[in-house]
Amino acid sequence: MDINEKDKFGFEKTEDQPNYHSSGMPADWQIGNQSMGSVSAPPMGSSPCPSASMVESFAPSLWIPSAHAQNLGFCDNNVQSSTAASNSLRIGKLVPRPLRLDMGWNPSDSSSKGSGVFLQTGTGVLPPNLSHLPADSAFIERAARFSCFNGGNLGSMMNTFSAPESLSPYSNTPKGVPGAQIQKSEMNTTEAGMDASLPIDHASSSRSPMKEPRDKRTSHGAGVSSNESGEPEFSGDGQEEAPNLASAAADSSSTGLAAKKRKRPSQDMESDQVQTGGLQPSVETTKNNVETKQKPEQNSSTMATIKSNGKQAKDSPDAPKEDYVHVRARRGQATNSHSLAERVRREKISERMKLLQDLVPGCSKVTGKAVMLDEIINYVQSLQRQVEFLSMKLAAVNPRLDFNVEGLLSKDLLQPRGGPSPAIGFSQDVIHPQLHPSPHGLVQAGMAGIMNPSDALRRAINAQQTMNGYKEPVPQIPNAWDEELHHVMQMNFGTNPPLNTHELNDKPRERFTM
Amino acid sequence: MNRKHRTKNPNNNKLMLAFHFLRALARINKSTSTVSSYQRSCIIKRAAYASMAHAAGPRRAWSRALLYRLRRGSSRLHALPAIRRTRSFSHKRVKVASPKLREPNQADVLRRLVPGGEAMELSSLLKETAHYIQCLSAQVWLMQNVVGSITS
Repeated sequence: MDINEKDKFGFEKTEDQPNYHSSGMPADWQIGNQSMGSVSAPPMGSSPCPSASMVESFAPSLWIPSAHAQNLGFCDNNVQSSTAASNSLRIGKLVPRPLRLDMGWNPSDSSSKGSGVFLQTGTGVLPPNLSHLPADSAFIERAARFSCFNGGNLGSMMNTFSAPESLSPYSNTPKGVPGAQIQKSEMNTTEAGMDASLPIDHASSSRSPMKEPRDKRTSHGAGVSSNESGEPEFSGDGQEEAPNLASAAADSSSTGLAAKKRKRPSQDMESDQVQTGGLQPSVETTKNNVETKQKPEQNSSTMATIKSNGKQAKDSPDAPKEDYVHVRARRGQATNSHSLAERVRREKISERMKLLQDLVPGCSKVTGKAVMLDEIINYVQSLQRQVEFLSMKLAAVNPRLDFNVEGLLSKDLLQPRGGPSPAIGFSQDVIHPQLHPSPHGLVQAGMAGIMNPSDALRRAINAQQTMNGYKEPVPQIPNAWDEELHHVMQMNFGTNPPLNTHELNDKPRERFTM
Repeated sequence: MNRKHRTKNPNNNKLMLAFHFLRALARINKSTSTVSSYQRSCIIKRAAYASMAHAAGPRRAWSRALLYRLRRGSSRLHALPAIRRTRSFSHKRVKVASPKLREPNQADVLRRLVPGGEAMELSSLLKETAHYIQCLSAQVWLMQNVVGSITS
């Protein structure tokens, strides 16, 4: 598999990068592609081309002299923009398992895998073909960052990188940086990178493609744990930048954390928040973090494996708890378990209030729980009063019930359901008691016509009952018609137990015991 | 499973409601005992609520509580008058607001309205209220159609 990938990548590389100034470039790229392929192969068989293109994108940046570290990032941006944004995402998601170190590349699987690979090498263990590359952590970090960015933000990223003062592009960068850092921490790369970027890249729309799969995984929180494990490493490193980026990180982390819902121990949450802040500073001041990055990068390879294992270990105990709602404390909120439960309860209540708002007519503009509750109470009371009033009206007109019931049924029931036969059968059934006192000739004539509708009605009722999930006993023919139709019913329905219509209250008992 | 129920529920619910209610109406009509119009209306009202509870199924807390209340033969289905009585009493007699006679907040009022809502916390109470409103409006629609077809 690796060999096949390598061949494919190498082949593509040689074809696509004829302008490399090093003759050994294709060979180097092949080697790089091999590792890239090995990295990308297991997770995604369909993304060899994207990863290849990713690698290709790195090629020009890699070959730029180390003095132009920024240009590397620039090239990465260009390459990134040229490649589909999803490529980086795919690559990031590629390797769920840690890869064996090839030429010192980080086997960790993260969204910025390509960059992570290079980051690992940048630790000081650069492969021979890449030895010319700047081994500073800044370059690796930038590469990692850019690799995991979508193409849309690359231009802004590029500008930002050349002028690292701007914070807005860093909205994207945090995604890359945490991804890069996550790689170093070797969390579940795909999830880690995604989760890492998720909290940070809240505002960036370009990251949405990357974020969406991560969003799906937020509930699992694997990325969160991985993110956080990666963060502690860097929080120590980026301590000098912590105050600078705390503000920037706070916004993204708060939004990111708010988006995530994952229950974690309180201490982890606090540490995570700190780490998220720490990540941001390191991302933005990569140039200053050369020395600080060395340590995490060196440990990244080992940590990647350890972290991924740890994260998987964390996932397993979480799996049995999946019936619980995992909630994460938002930034700036109390992390007490009671307050978390309170928040969950409040959110449930507000969600149900929104449902009720749709049900109660004329409540779309109403905001606030108290006013909404008043409206709901008024509506329920009005409905109950309506039922009472209509029942009084029905009592007044009840003696004349015999005539239009079938018309009512066919008219009203057909509209919502569109099923004429059951309604007609039902109407016939209801008419039976009224027809009983009528001339028997009419009754006899009606019997033949009634039989089929009654059958259809009962079949429809049975079908609906089975659909509803509980079997309602077949309604008994009105007692007035027992002697006429009962035998017919038995013939048609066989073993359907007749239900005594007199005992209306018996039915619920039967039903509830089902 | 629940989602399937929800998607098919509106039409099924209305059909079941119609079936139960019309059958009850037929039964009531058949048993033409000499009862006053008011008693008859009470009977019809109880039949309406019973059919509503039957159509809703035993899965809902309010339908179970409603059927239990009906089976016990309680004369009063609603607690609306009780609220007023409590308030007037507290105004006249009780000087100091004791916790028992405190002004009922909205959740308590809703609890009294929705059958079976006394022993529920707010989130489940709201869920039951939503379903109860759905079935109540279906019942009202049905009764209006019955009356309309009869009188037309």
